[in-house]
Amino acid sequence: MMEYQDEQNDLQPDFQELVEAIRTDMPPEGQWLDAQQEFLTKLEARRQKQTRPRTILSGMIQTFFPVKARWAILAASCVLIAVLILNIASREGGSGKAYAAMTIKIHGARTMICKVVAQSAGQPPAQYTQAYMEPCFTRTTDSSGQAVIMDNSKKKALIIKPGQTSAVEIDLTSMPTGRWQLILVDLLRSLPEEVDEALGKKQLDGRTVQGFRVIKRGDGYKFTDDIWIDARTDELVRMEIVNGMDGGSRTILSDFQFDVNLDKSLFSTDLPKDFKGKRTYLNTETPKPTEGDFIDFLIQSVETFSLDGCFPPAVNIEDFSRAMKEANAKKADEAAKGRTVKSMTPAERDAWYKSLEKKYKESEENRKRTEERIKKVRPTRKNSERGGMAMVQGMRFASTMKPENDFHYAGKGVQLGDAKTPIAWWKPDGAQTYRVIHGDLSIRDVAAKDRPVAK
Amino acid sequence: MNEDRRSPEEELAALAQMHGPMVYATAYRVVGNAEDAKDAYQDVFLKVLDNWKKQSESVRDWGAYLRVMASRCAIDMLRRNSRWRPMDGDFSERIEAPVSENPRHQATQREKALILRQALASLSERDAKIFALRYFEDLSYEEIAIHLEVSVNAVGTILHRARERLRKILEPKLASNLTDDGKGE
Repeated sequence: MMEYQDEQNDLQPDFQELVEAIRTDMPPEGQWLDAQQEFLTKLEARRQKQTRPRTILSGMIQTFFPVKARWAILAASCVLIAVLILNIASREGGSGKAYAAMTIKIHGARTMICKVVAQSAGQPPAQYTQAYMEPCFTRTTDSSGQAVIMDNSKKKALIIKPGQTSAVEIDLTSMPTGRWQLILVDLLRSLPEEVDEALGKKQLDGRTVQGFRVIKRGDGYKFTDDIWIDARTDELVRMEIVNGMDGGSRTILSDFQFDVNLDKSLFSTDLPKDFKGKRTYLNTETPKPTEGDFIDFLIQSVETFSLDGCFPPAVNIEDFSRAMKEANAKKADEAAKGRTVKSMTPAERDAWYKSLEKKYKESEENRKRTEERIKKVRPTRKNSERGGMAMVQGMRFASTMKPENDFHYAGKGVQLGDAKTPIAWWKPDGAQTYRVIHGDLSIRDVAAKDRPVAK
Repeated sequence: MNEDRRSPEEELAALAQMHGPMVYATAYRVVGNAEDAKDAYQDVFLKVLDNWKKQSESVRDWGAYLRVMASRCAIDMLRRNSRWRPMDGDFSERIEAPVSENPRHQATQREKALILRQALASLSERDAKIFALRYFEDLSYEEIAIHLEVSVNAVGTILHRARERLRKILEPKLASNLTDDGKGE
């Protein structure tokens, strides 16, 4: 038995036995190496994150699409809006006294509450309210009453589901260090001193407001912010942010309240009394995209966006987004002409998959593989988050190709099921041959001299 | 000289290599399972990385510092786990299978360890931490006082209080659960 030398120690024998049981409870030899390996992987991921230039979209995708759980939707939606709009470009023009007074007030605010409505074509508007308290606490509540509390300093979040008296604690230590881009007051504080355009006065909700426009341009993005300020009090009344890149999705911030007294307990990330809790963590490490992800993406993009059963015209995110927008516009045109294009019902989708399987069987060589592929993809439609993940991963497969991989995509105008036409080919790392995917999603290895020729 | 200077990540990787087994074992003793010990291990080193600039200048004994950190992170995890329902399975499923020449004795030892861990989780964070450092890690009062920046007297007081609290919690369990400790098997 262990002898404690300290005279103040008065552990009873049984008590000492318990302590001794713990002291002798050693982990299996070498088990620490798993922890070490995991840590080194995280360390490397952090190092890469710090050195890698992040575009808005890649940052958004790398940070949030790996999230698989449903609780992440609300959190991600706030973050995405903030990430998308927190980019400032140089601009010219003068600004009014009202605008200057408004920005000064925002910079000095201790607390802020505002309502957010995000609208995009074909989607129901998302609405939530965010309360902010200095230095770094937010509480974002959606229309159902579900709240996401985030504490930047503790790198911790708590999702509260009031109706169920349950909560989810999220460890966010994998998030990048520094202030997160999900605090709406930071968006306001990032407004420039000078505006691009004065919009004049108008009546808004019974108030005379004065408008100012700020345009944010950069590589691959353009946002127009219209800021409306009460002409009498210089108070911020409304801010409308229009995304110029995705067909005009619009985010409206309104009902601002600054420096109201907010109870600190509103921002507590501790489990509320009598609530049951679950713990999880935000996984920001995106798995390496695979060939299978790419094929899943191709199938789902045909199913989801194509009007004619053809593969998407491009597989990079920007062009794919544009194609989605065009497809939606075309659907709207068809609807205007009385030829409504409806989404497939589950039964129709099932029949569609069966027709695909039939097509695949025509290519006997790859029948088994493609049937397995279809089986794998089909269940993902039951879970839109997982389906979305597969889409992103599929596009990442293409975007992460290196020049030496000689990746080509030629799916534009090719029907799914066309066994004769190659739609993508590349040379995997270290390989001597090329991988070639045809329109029936069969995959063949071919010598370099036999690879398809890009048109 | 600057050319030889390593990045914080490289410095930390070297520290993890040197002190990793000790950090893991310290965390494991407190939490009692590989999954949480691994998480505590990550917590320790990632916290060090987050505060690298400050700590790289102030910490003189990395071994002692990391031991205290490991104990702190593991206690934190233990306390949280006592309140939070695990995502998969219940707590008992997370106790790893005993491997011993005397399986029954080993199982009893694990049960004893579990009882103390559960009781420890009900103490305040500071009390649990000081208890673990004193009795699991064998640190002296003086060493604990230095690392936690409290007085030696305070350490004694806290330990006394912790023991009393644990005794109250454990007495009924000791009476009922540990009548057969597997000795002599």
